[in-house]
Amino acid sequence: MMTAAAEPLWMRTLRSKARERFEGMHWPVTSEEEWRRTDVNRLGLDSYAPVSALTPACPRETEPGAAAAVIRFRANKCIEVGLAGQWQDAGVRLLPLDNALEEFEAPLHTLYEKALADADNRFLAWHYASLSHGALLWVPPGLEIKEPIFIDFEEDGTGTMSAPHVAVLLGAGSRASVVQRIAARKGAPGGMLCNAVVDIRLADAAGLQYWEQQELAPTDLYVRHVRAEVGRDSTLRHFDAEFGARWAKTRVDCSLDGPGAEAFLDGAYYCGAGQHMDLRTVQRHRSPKATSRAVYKGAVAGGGRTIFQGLIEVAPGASGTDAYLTNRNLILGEGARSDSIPTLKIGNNDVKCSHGSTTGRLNAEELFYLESRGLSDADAREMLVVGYFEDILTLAPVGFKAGALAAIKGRLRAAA
Amino acid sequence: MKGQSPVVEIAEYQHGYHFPDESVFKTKKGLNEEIVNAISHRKEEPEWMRQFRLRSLAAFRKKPMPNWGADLSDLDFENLYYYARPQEQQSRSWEDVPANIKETFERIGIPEAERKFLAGVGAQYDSEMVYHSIKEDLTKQGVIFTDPETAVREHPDLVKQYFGTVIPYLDNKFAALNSAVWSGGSFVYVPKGVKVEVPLQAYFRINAKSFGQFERTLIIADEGSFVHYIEGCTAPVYATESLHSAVVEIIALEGARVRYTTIQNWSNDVYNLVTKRAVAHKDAIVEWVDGNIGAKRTMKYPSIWLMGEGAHGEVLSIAFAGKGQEQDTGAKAVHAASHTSSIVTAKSISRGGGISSYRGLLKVNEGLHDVRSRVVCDALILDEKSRSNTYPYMEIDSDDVSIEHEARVSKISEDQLFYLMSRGMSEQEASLMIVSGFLDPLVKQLPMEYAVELNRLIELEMEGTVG
Repeated sequence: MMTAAAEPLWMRTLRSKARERFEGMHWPVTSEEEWRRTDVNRLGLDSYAPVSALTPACPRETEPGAAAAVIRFRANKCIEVGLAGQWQDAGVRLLPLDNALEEFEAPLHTLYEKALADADNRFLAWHYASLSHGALLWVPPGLEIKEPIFIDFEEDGTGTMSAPHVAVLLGAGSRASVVQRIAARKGAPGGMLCNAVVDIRLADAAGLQYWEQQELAPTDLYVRHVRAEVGRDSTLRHFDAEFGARWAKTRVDCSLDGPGAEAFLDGAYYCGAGQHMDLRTVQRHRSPKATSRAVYKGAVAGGGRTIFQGLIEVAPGASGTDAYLTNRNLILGEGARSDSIPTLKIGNNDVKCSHGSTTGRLNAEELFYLESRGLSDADAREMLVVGYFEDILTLAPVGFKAGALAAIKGRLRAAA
Repeated sequence: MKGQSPVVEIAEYQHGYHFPDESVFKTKKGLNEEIVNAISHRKEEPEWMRQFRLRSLAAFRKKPMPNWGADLSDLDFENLYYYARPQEQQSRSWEDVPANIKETFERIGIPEAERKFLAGVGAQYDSEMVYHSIKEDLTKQGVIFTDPETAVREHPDLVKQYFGTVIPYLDNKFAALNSAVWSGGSFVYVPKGVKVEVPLQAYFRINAKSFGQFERTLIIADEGSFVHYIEGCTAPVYATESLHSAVVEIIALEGARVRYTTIQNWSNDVYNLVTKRAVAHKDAIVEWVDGNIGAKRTMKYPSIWLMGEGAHGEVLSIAFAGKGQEQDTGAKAVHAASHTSSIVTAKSISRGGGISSYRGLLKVNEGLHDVRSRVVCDALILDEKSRSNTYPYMEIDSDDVSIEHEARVSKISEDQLFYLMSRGMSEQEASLMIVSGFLDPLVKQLPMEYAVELNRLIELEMEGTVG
């Protein structure tokens, strides 16, 4: 940890606290409900060595082009950062995390202390102890940024654990849209563990769209926690596109903390042969009159294994809650396994809560129809699978949608 | 018990009879080999059953308490009686039934007509069948309807073949407990092709302080047969906790159909921890109709294992969780064969701080085709103190499936209330009507006398919910 000395004291203290938490915890075991279907104890987690922490970044300045801002990482180094001049002048910040630790000490310190206090598994403690690289986005109150902000992680490593991190702080009434990609560097040998966290805090009446896509190497392991606090009249739209890694465990934990808060937690996943994906969403209604929706759609090929565990939790005082949760699984071949567990915990009666789940395969009649029009079996399948995913991507930025659909097509073709 | 809560008063008035305990033989409190041996000895059981009980006791000690479900922290296994026998002889006819037991039945309200016309009434007082009559034509048809002790003596081959095969003694802590100390229950065998036209019924009643009841019911429906078994229970109110932990096993052989209906209304100090499971072979149909109104804690998930092609399973479940109650109920359907289907409909009502939870499993094994399942859960929460949880587990390991699940949680809609009240109903009447409508799909599935009884119970439970 060559840079530990360069970090401000508060961060060093926080890291050692996290280290203590880590030492005091054991790896999740299958008797814990969330980990019942995902056994981490065969992954040899102790053999992954954390990569060195927060190498001082001297990234190249770049022009964000059509985007509002862009930041790029290769392995655990920030290589490029760019922010459009008008946003720079307006006080927007998109910084490599190590450069943000002093300027944003107060909010980050609070955020991380709380995250650590809430940490309910060893991966989270490990992340904060070994946080290796990442970005901070700050949007001052009242600003509305229409163009997307790109955060790009090119992960690379073998036998190592990287802990990329993104902190998003939106001032009251501000708006932003982030497109984040975590992918293996082209030609990377694979075999790493990526333990990522996204911390989101929205002040009153803020609006954030956060579009995530994961395309790690087929030998990588992936753990990702999103922690979001959505304030009064704020809106979070989070989208999770999961494609890569041989083993992935993700969680989006969103707490609705003020009246009028809204959260839309959507996801698309494609799980191929030999992949194991365990995805979780939590819609935590802590305040009255908040709304949340979660829609996760997946496709599972033969030899793939998916688990979706969703939870709507309504606190006793959260009256006027309107919450919905749905999970759909498309099973593409024999030997696919798909578990769906959408749960509700409702602690008051003035609510409208529902959930739904469907699991099935491609409609044989639709396939037949397309094939009778001269499409090959592969083309017809591709068209139906793309159509299945398309509707949850309607609100995505054009580039994100195209990228996600391209990834799905690529996987289908590779499997064919 | 003056004033405040009319519900409690009426409930006690309805079901709160307590007759002096006249058990003839009773084991000491707590559980050990000695007690298990004493039970077995008392029942004059063959050695294999005694061994089975002892193996089960060992399993019970080893098995952990479930780390999920209802709060069982107040349950003390050492502070319970595990066996009591009310009379020396099993009564052969109605005239022989002791007057105080007759009076109990009178008060539960088994109508006179029902006693005469129903095929068989197996009424359980404490742990054993005290009254058992099977109409002659059923006997002629070869139907066996008796208590399991008699079955062990008189039909050992059938019992050995099926007993503990659907729910092994190692299955879970409470099944192990039941396997060790079981006493009473029903044994039903319906021969090939026989359709039992009238429902078989058994009333259960707990009537000894801190007394555990561990019925063991085994129903075997041979090829192409049909039987509807009804179990209803009301229990006197006691201050100390009682444990009820039954095991019900159903085997529906090829082409058979079995329907099992329960309306459970234990008094609100009973722990009702029951394991119910059925296997449906080729083209068989199993239906569980399960109503849970009473008990302090209920954990009950009627299950169907669809083992043969063409099998169909259905579970219709309602739960009513009032003050101090936790109804942790649900259903399980395991598809182990192609061309099988299942339907689960669950409805729950929580009020007065009660907690109702739906916990279900839908599993499709590997390599199957044409499997269909639909699970629908509806929950009503009547006040802001009450809670409702839904935990559906869907594990799908085959591709040619169609699985649907939906759940809704809400309160009584103000629009509906307003509409009914604008037609001149009081809020109480309007609420009752909405709740009755909500439960209607279940009530419709019940034989008339049970529908009437259930409606009366719901009416009682609903009193005092408004204002």
